[in-house]
Amino acid sequence: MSLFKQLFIAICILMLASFSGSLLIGVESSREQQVAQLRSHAQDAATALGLSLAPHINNDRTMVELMVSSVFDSGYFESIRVLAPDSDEVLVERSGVPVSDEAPQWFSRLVDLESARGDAIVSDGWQRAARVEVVSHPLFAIGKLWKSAQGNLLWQALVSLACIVLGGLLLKRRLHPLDHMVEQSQAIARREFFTQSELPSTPEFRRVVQAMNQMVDKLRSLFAEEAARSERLRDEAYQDRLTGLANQRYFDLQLHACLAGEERASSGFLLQLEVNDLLGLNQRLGEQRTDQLLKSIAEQLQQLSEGRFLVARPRGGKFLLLAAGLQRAEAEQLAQRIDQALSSLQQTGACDCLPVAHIGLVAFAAGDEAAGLHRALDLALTQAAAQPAHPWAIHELAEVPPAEDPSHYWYALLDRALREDQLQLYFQPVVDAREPDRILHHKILARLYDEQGQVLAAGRFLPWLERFGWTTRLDLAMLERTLRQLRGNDQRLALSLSPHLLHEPQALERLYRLLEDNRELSSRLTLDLDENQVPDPAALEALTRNLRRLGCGLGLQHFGGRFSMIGNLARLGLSYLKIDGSYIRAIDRESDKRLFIDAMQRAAHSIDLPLLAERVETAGEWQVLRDMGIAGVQGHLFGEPTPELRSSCRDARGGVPE
Amino acid sequence: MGLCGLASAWDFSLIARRAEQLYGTQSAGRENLDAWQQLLREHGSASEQEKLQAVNRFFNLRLRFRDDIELWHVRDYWATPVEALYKGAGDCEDFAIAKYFSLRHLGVPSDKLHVTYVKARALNQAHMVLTYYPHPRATPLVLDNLIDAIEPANRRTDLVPVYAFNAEGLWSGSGRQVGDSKHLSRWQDLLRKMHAEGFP
Repeated sequence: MSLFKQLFIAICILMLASFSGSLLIGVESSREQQVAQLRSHAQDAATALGLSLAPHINNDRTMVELMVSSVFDSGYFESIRVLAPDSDEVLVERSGVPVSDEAPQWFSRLVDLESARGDAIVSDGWQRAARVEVVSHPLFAIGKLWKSAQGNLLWQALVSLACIVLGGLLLKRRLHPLDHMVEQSQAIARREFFTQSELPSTPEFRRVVQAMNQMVDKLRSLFAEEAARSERLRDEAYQDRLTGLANQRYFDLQLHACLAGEERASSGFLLQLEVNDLLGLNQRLGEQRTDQLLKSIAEQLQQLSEGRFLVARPRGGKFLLLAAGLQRAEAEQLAQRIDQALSSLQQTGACDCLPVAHIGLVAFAAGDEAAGLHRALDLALTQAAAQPAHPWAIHELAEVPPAEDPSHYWYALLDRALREDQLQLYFQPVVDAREPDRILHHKILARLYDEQGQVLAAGRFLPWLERFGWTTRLDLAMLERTLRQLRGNDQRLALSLSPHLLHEPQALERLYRLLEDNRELSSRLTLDLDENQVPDPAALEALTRNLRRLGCGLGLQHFGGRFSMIGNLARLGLSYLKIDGSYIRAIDRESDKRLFIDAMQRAAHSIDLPLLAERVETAGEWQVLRDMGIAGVQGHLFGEPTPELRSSCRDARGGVPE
Repeated sequence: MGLCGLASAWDFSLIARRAEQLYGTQSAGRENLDAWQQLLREHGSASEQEKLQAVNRFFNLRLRFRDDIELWHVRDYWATPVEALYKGAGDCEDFAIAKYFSLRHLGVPSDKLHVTYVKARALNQAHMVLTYYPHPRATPLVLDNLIDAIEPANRRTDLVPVYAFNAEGLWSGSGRQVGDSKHLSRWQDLLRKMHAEGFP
């Protein structure tokens, strides 16, 4: 029972007790007075009758009856009797209970006032002719008591009402902190760990809130510790210590993912930069200044790549740039700008020779061999060193590029696909790591049929979409298709969002409206953002807030353990983190990878955030992940992307993995 | 206040002491009081006729008739028997009251005694007498202070009866509470005064 109801009942009971008590006391205290008054009333009537009956008592019986009746009818009497003086012989009698609707029967019975008696002598001259006996009825007194009881009840009811209203308000005010506590606990259940800054003034609540804040702080610091540990491990394994760039290993992982990946832009340019005469520089400028130069180059490269490309320093004076989605003209432009930036370094005296570095470029596409690409890059570098015009060169792979510009072809194809809604949804199951038959959700992948009716993976057309600035169009079209898909079944789905959408207020508005219009579906939808495309903390928090309002989840995909980049992860209430497939590759054979993912898992676990693993391809990888406690897995091992949803009945327990 | 009780219930030494405190030491008053005590003591076992005669004679002799306005300086004053005896005077209701209490104390039943308002024809004045009914339908005997003899009422042509009341229901009736109504206030006053005088 709610506190308010209890209060209400308590006040009602109190009121009833107080009312009946005051009624009882009122009746009892006035009983004496009422009885005396009744008696006096009876006696007065008797005396008056005794006097006025005297002239008629022995000769005019009708008159006597008339007088008795007139007195009886005009007052509250139970009976008036005229009796013989020496016996109980009744000469005249009027009796009967007067009718009055002033007080109900039950009240008269409850109050139980006795009637009172008065008598007088009727004389005929000196002789006693009769006795008059008057019994007065307490009706009038009961009526008065009834009225006072009613008034009393009304007053008590008013007071009680006021008590209930005031008490309710007070209670509501006092219990207000409870709402905040509930909010906080619910937020914790949603994996949002925030503390209440305003402590309630009620000491009991204050202690609870303090305890909860303490718990949240503890969880947050635990998470922060684990996250920092995980990041440290990651940096040790995948970062160049001098420049903070990625190392060879990380670059290889990403390149491999790019060449094999179907969902990410899988064509573009590789760029290799070799510092001119590093050995000589080292001797002439000293190690410290050379290191300084390398750091400056790293900074310039990062600036120029604007976060779109992966920059790595595999060793010494060698830098690598993975520029997926880049076209040839843009690649040449990029090389030129890098050359200019490095020249300015020479002018500041950071370097004493020109060119500062040579640059080799090579185009890549899905399916290319990494080793071949590296060889081609070396050839391009040699070529760049040999030519005097500019210090960069593009190595053409064996094929001659198509004479006509392919962009017209792609423009027409993609425009038509988006306009006419010809995108195809493919689904890849994400399954419980312990029970692979239990499907957590399906990841939605975009596919397109080309003119020959061949299925094109997203990796093929994404670079072109980016080039035409249509990724937002793709996102919204995919969202519409996904919502339609959700309407037809009861599965949970996950859809990737491009970062561009978050920067276009109109597109974002459209996204919210679509979700708003399909509220009943949005609870089964999770939107995935790439780790390296996460917006700034404020925008991210606004996004999570809006999505939560709409009932839609938000997850991070291609997660590489860079917890610190995601702002306040413990406050976002994310649905899950999907670990990038490159960290899952051969995890059963590489112990440092395992160490790093294990730390990541512990950090995520401390805030109850599920970790899912992307691109799990071998039973060994699955085994390791499962032992670590990873919640879900996705990959060829558990199901290829298909145009059909795996039926939901199969995700019930009991199935045997293939 | 059971004033109708037995003779032994009235403690005359107490009454005398109180009377002295209240009304001062007066040999005449004291003498009257003692005489009253003696009357009551002596006639405890007499016949009702003898009681009537004795009590009527006692008060008609001992008390002189004086108007309240002269005696008490108020228009109408009901004196207790002790007050009347101490003053040695009283008006008609003082006589009737004193006689009523005395006879009731001597054991005359209340339904035989009525206090009756009458009009004295000769004086054209309101008057009060005590009437005694040997049986309910009988013509009563009149104990009056205007004449010394006890006469049957039908011989008292000088008096016109107005209203008789049985004082029993008003002042005694041991169990019954005497109310605080205005109607009874004179009796109430009287009884209070008598209680102060040492009557139980």
